[in-house]
Amino acid sequence: MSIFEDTLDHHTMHNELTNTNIYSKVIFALAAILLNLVSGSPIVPFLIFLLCSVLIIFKAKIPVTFYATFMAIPIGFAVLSGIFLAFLGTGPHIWDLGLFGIGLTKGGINQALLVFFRVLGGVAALGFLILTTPMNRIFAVFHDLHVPTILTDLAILMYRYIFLFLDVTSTMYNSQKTRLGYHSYMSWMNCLASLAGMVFIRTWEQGEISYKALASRGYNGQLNMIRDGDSIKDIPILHWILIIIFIVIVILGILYFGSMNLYTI
Amino acid sequence: MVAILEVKDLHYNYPDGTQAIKGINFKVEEGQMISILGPNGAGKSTFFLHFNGIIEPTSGEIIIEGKTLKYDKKSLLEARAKVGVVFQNPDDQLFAPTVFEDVAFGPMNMGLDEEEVKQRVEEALEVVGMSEYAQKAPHHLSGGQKKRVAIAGILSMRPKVMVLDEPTSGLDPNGASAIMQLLYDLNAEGMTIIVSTHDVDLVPMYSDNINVLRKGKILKQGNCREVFSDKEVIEQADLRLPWVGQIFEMLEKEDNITFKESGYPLTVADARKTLLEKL
Repeated sequence: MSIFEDTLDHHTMHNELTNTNIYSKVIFALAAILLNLVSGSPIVPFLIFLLCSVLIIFKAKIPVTFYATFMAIPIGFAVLSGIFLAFLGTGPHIWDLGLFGIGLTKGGINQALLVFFRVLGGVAALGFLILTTPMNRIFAVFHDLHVPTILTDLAILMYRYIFLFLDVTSTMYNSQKTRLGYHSYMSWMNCLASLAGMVFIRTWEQGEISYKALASRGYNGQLNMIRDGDSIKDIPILHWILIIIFIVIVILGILYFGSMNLYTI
Repeated sequence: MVAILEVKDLHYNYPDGTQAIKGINFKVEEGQMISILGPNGAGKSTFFLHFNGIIEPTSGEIIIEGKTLKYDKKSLLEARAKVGVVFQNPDDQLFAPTVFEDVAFGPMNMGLDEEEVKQRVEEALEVVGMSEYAQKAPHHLSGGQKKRVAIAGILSMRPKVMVLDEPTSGLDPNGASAIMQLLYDLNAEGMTIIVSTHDVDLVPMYSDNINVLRKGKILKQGNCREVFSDKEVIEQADLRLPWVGQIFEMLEKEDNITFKESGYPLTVADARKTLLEKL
């Protein structure tokens, strides 16, 4: 149980927004992502990033450290692509690298900033949805949106068995280490290979027995689940008002800031 | 009494030809609580999976409420609603993202409407004492809690017979007793229950109808006293006397103190009574 304490899955179920109507969150997140993409200036995505971060940390009460680790990877990618974009712009160089005739340009830096903050805003908005919403409610939305059942069924089973096999893998890994596995490079390779092989065999066996268990309860090719979802009709008026205010302010922001950036060209 | 489940001359061979079940005749009457004792590999799980048609026998037949089980889709669904099997490892059985959805799976398959399903689920979770965990994910539960949810998943289908494969395995002593007590209470309310186990200390407390299974055959059938006084069967089936019984056996053999002519007491309560009488 302990290995599941500080996971995304744990936080989705134990935050202050877990039971908020899922459609409020979906509509807010989608609106934020779309507006984020439309904006021509990095300022609006940055504000969306700030707003979503504040909601995640202070409203949903997700621990800051967890949110920081969650954001670290996308930010890393955004920084990398930002650096490349900054060097790829056309126009007069404001700084020369001294190699292959490439250097920083005003246009390139503007482009880099825009992309960087768009990534930040987009990931934060998506993070707001996935950090605060348990998976089963997202499956219920899939169902409401008429996503083919075979996809949702597969997703449901995969979701459950990821955790089961994570548990199996960690037990096997510990038992290998107990017997001095992973002590050298070659041993590391061997242990990892047999671990992967065993987990594969276990999934196979588990598949057989899970089918029997499901069949015992009347499974006949389709998972008839009771949907524990919210209805779009149940969104509180307050949420609608807040979402609309948010959208209006962001649109005004987009219009006001236009394509304002670090350098005016 | 009406036989609610009957097994006639059951044989089952594994695909490789190994004989797993070698001719079992077995009869369950409504309201009974039956224990099947047997060592590992005796064929208990295989035997159980015949009851609701998961495994089709090589020969022989299963009769549920007087109807011979057929293996078409409709009859199988019907059989599975009547005979519920709780698997040994709850992780094999729990698949849904939340406890509530998992317990609802069986009744949803029976084609009940959602209101009815919700009511049954709440009731089943209440019975096993897991109501407050309804919205939790299975991987956030402890072993005993998963077991309870697995039982609720079957209870919500309101079967006539509930079959449990080693319900106490992997549980701490308190958890094991609590599960057995739960089954005992369910039985007292009229549910027919079949349990497989090798926990010989727990069995005499809850069940008075024991079948000893070994190598695909029923070696002996009878009440606790009859089964546990048959030394040969107990030894063959890799079982032992309950600890309480062993004390009285030693007292009789090594100290020549006989308490009762009719056999050793097998439960703590029984032993207390016997000792009080003697003192």
